[in-house]
Amino acid sequence: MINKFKIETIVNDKKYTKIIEPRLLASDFIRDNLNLTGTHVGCEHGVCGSCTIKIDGVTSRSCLKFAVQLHGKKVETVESLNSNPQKMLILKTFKKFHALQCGFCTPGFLITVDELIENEKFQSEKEIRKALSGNLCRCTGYENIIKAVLELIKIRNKK
Amino acid sequence: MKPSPFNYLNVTTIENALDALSSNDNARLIAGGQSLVPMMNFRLAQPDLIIDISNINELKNVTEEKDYVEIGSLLTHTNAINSICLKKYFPVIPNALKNVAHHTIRNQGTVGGSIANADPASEWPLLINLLDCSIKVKSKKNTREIPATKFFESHFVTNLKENEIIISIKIPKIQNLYGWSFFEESPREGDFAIVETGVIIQIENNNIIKNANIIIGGVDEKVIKLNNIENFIIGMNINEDLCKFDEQIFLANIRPISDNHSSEEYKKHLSIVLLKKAINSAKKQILSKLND
Repeated sequence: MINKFKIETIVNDKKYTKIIEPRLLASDFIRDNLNLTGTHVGCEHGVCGSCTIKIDGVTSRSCLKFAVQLHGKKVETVESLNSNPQKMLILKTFKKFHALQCGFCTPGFLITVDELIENEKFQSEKEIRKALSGNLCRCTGYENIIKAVLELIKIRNKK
Repeated sequence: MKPSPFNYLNVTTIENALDALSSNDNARLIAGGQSLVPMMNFRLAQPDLIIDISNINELKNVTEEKDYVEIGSLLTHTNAINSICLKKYFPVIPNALKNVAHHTIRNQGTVGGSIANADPASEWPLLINLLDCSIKVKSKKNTREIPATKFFESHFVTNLKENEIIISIKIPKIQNLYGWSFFEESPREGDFAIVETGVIIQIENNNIIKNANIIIGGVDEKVIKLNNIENFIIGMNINEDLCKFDEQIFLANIRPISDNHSSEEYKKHLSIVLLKKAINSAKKQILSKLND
């Protein structure tokens, strides 16, 4: 007998109350139960980075968390970037440098880049490559992604 | 790619976690979940009950005592890297932990989870051996401290009993002047190491090596302490060539296995290269400290 759980979680500043099974992955919960399909499901074992979200302000693979663990937590998905002009700059810069082709990996990159430019100094391109190595892009769009992040760092450092 | 059904229990105290652990045969603790959840997604692990200990706040602290630093088992890799106290006394810890997977994984993964998982090529098990740590574990009836050398037994096998939880890790402060180094080689950034090595060399006032810890991971069923090489360099003057250890004796003491990434021969070759690099790097650090 598996017990279901009633969870309350705040996702992108909106409160949700849902009844779920413990085995439901946070990634499937966000996509199927909340209809926030910006978060993509790729490898489902923590390797590709497509499903990256923020939980209480810190990035996490949503395929490596259970929805039930989001109870009482504050979650931000890629959709949250829309509501903040400063964060929209990340999207605009990705667009400017054509830092995406098919766009499957892009939500994960955007959330990751958001955290990195907040926390990391980044003295060199090599450091950026290392920091982004946890996100896979299969259209070989890395060059343009790096260019976009270099631009974002430049803008940040001017402030 | 979806886990099999299980029941879930969120606990906020160690006592509640221990109660749940002792009353279920097929229960698993979850901390960061960065190794357990992939195994559950692949259905390699199918626990009946998941006990979520990630909200037990008392297990997240770094505490400095006179002779040692104690870290809670739920300290994440990211928080360990950012800890001013750990950086001050054990700079090898943040240096090595930057090699743990990717930063998003490091945000969630914990020291307790990493050592309970006991992968012979991962960084925390090597650091625990390198720094002569002891591991404090608790069951409902008993609390005990396990020395690093006894804790790890084989691939993914530890001395931890089914009803025990890792509470903290005690890291003794290093008393003498010392040099440290950590090197690993992996196929790509963030991958598991093919071979990893860590060295700490301590000297006395007369520049004689008093103590040496030389640890290697990825080449045997567990991270191993290289007593032969340690004994070879203890008693030597720091200015001597420390890398003239007997390579054949060293190779006879490790058992690397060929895999998709690298052959047994390559791992043996890499082990010697990394060991010499690590020993020389620790030596160089001591010499530069002596010149300061």
